[in-house]
Amino acid sequence: MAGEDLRLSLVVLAPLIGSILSYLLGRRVPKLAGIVASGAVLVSFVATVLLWREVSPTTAFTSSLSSWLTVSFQGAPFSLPIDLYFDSLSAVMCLIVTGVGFLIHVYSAGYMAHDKGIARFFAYLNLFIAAMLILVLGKSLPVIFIGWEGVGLCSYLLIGFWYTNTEYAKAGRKAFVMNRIGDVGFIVAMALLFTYCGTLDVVELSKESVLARVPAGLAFLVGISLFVAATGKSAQIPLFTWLPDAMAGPTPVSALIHAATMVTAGIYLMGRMHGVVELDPAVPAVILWVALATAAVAATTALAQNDIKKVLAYSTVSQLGFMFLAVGVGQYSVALCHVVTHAFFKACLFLSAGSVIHECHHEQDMRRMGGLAKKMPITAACYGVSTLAIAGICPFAGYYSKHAIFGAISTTTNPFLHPYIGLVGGLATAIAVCTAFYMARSFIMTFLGSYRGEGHPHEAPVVMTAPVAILGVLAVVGGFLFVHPITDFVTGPLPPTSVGHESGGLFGIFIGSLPGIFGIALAAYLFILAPREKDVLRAIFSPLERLFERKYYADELLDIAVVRPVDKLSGVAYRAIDQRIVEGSGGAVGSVVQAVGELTCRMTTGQVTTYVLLMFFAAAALFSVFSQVR
Amino acid sequence: MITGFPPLSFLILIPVIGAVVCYGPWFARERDAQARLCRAWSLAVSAMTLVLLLAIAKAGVSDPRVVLSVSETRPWLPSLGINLNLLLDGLSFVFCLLTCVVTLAVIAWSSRPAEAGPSWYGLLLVGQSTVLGAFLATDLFVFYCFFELMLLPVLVAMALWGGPRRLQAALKFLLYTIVGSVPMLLSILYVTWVSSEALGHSSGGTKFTFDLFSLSTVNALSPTQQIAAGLGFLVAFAVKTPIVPLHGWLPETYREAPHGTAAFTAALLGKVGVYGIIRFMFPLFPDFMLLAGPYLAAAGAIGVVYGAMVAMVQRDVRSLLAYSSISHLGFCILGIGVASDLAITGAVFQAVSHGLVTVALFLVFGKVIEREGTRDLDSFGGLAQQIPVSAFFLMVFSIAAVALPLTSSFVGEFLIIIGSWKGAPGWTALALVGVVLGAVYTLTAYLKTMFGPERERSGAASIPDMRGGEVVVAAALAAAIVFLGVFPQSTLDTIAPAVEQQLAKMPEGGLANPRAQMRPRASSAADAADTQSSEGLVQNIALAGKQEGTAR
Repeated sequence: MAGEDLRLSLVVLAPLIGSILSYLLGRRVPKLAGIVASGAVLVSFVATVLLWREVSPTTAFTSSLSSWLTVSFQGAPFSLPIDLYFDSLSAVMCLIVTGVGFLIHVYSAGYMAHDKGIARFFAYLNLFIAAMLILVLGKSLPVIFIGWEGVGLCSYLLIGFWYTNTEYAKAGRKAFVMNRIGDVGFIVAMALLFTYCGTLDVVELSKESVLARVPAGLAFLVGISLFVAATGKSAQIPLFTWLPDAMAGPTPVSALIHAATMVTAGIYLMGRMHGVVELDPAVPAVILWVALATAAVAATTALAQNDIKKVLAYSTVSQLGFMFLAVGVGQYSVALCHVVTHAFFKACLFLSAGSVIHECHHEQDMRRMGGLAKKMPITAACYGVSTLAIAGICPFAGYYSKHAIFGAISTTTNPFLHPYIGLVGGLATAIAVCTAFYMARSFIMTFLGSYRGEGHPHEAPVVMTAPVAILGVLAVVGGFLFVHPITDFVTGPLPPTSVGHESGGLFGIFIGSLPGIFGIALAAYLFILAPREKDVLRAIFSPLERLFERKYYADELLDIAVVRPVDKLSGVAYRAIDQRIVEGSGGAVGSVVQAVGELTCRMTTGQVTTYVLLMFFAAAALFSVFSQVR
Repeated sequence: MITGFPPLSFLILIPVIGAVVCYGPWFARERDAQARLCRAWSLAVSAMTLVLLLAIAKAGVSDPRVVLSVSETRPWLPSLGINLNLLLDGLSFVFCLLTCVVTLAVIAWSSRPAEAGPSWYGLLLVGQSTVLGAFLATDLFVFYCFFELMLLPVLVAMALWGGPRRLQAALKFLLYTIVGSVPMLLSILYVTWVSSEALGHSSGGTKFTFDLFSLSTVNALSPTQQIAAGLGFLVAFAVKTPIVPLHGWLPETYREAPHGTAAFTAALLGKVGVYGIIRFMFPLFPDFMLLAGPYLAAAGAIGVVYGAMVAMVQRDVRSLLAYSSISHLGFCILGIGVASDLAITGAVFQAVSHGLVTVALFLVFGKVIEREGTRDLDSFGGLAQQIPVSAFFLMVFSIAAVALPLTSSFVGEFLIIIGSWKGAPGWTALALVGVVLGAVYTLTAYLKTMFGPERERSGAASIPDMRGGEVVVAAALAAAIVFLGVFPQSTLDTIAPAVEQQLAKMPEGGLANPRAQMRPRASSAADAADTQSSEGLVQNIALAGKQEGTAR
């Protein structure tokens, strides 16, 4: 057991130590920062792999890092140990976090090579990995919460990494605050679960006997609170607008935190706590509708974006919605599969986009790109296969997980959802077409046609292209290598999936790929073959385009519904109430003193010392009375 | 323990003696040199106090199974029943430790002697002594004296070296706290008066005492009398903590006091209110506390949100910190209102943690204010590149203020929330809104101070980034905050038994429990009190008091 203990601690501690080391060394020798940080994540990855080989759906390792805190009174003791728990579910998440994380670290060494703050950058990045690992390895909700807040902090620091730009710094603050709203849900869930179940241990909380202690009337509240937490971290309606703004951070950060790992924490939490989520069948129903709405809103918003990173950001929101669709119908392992394949192709897309931005001198507008396929062939190829993957075309990775989600929707037995399966399936298909369309559009605008910018882009250095290429390969083969083994692998902690492994033959594959093919074909037709018809379409849909461009005025709505009322109320609280208390009180207190003073000695001089003396005299007088009585 | 050596009295006396030396004009002629000498001297004195406190505590718990409880009694006005009863248990220890650490930090902070000169250091030491006295005294009258004396050093420092509106602020501060504490004095006399008969029962006469434990054991107050007397105490503590809406003195005091004094006041004065409620009100007025519980919980939760909202619209850094204090201490009041073991333990932890975080924020922001020559948040900006060390520490302390896990604030807030949910779910949920708003104003303040493009400034460069002593102080405070967040166990083990003793008369679980289920442990409180009272007859008296109570 000791060996596993050591390795499990190493998984978390390596990036934590790496964070400090890379800062201290990177301050002096900037090149070392990237090497040390990447090395730390590699150590963590290797340790994870070693553990992963020994873990099976029915076994798990536990390692105790610290006893943190215990408060025991005569009632139930309240104890929160910092225990790590490595089961097949954590294993999959850890492999993604450390594996994809390592590739992105290597890439960052190239991408950030000339930045002044490279040491700080890698310190934050490694700290993020450590926090993310605590999140997925935590054995109790408070430990998960440590990681949950830790990744939020790192995300805040990295979005505002170039803090001299006030807008970037504000984007970081926005992300933190919106996540904080979700965190309130997390805290409420913890308070409720501890109050009624008496434990916050995730293993205990997966037992039916423990969960049965939650009163029926509160089951919905507990589940929904957890989902609120998930909407914050995983950018679902109404807490999704921070993610597009988070693109202010350096592109590797967007790839790592805002695509591959942190934003999937909500799905992980749902899976880990699926017993709680399913206590009340209304909760999965709410999750499904919110997920569907988010996927639709984000996919249509992505149609009208010209910033390449914004397209990818909305696409992430939309794909996260797809994952929550699977959560809503109770197919957590299917959701997890999409987490895995999404990590591959979305990280690849972001890193490719990063290379493009890097080579185009920080130009992010696709209207000033174009024709880059000739100048950056490897990057273009990687972006291309990832586009096919996200579009869900067989045999690319996204096909398998997306196909499984479509299969999962039809299997639901939830009484709130059953009547609407056709509607849900239809909408999801439409969204899949949208996804293929806007991704193909971004590929065409960036890589095909002729170059419209002013720079002199050429292929990125090897340190950047190699990780992109590896991710590209994973985006191609990830599906059939990993997806079905994963669904079987995680059946211990997650309920077994009812989605079959059947491929349905060639025709089935074709039908499954059809939304993707249709979307891509449409984009190719409108943007390459018949650009004029695009303008006609545009004219017809122009009011909608405005709506899409402004992401359904979500920021404005939030502003009107939440931000401004709170601001206004705060202003009122300050000016109308507090100013009066503060300014009025002086007078009020004064008059009380005056009244007391006049009453007792009629010698009010208005001097402070008099009051002090008065007080002591009064005390003395009272004491003499006491003595008399005695 | 050496017999005849009264360690707790020494603890209170050392800073005063040190302060007297500060006023002696005899060790350097030049004012600057004098101030520098004074700084070194008071640094040594406050360090010595800290060491003595730790030594007393260490000697008090020679055996790990023993709960810390060092007490002292010496007669002062025996005919009136007033004795210098001092007690160092887990509860007073953590607050005394906070006091010593904060004083040391404030003195050690500025490498340049305060412009106020030598007497400022003297006042600070006097302040330390009175606050220590308030945390140690268990005689109600002695406590009251310290509670009032505490004001003087702050008042004088503010009136002499404060901001432009210092006199007005000082006057308001004085009036508020005195008007607030007069009811407490009356209540103290009332409690003694009512209890005197029961206490003197065995000897057939009356007997006066101000000793908390004797009064608590005799338990002579009927619920109605408890309400009358409890309200007097509550007003005094509510003003001091402060509980909204009795906070009228706070913003101006925090704004106008000189840097170090403001840090000292913000970190410590409010804690006396929190401590006072837990130490005195639970044992003396258990029925009143149960009755007032829901209102206190409500006031706490409203305070959390109200303080945070008002903090959000402040432009003056010090005002922002003032209202954020109201918000953070609202959590303590919430926990006290619910009165479950867990919540009160959390409240004590939160109070200590808030003291550390607040003093750190005041000191670092003080640096920024000093450098920029203004306190207006909107005229800061882009400082992260110019003063990176300050920026780093301010980030650490801001994170702690937001109560992220693995900082001390998280432990406190989390225990309060978990402990309060059962007793007052609605108010606890409301307080959680403050968690979001807290992130808003803290990060906004940081953003406006440190982030953004660098600005052109005139003459700002004359004050450099933090260095030397300042870095040491900031690093030590940061280490303490993180240590309490990562390894809170030893502190909790110190607090919890003391809290349990304080709550001995409350029904288990506080508000969450119906009143009927009183704890069967009331006798253990009497046992504890046994050591405090001068006679061994306490239990008989208690029995007599109870019989009388039932007869009535």
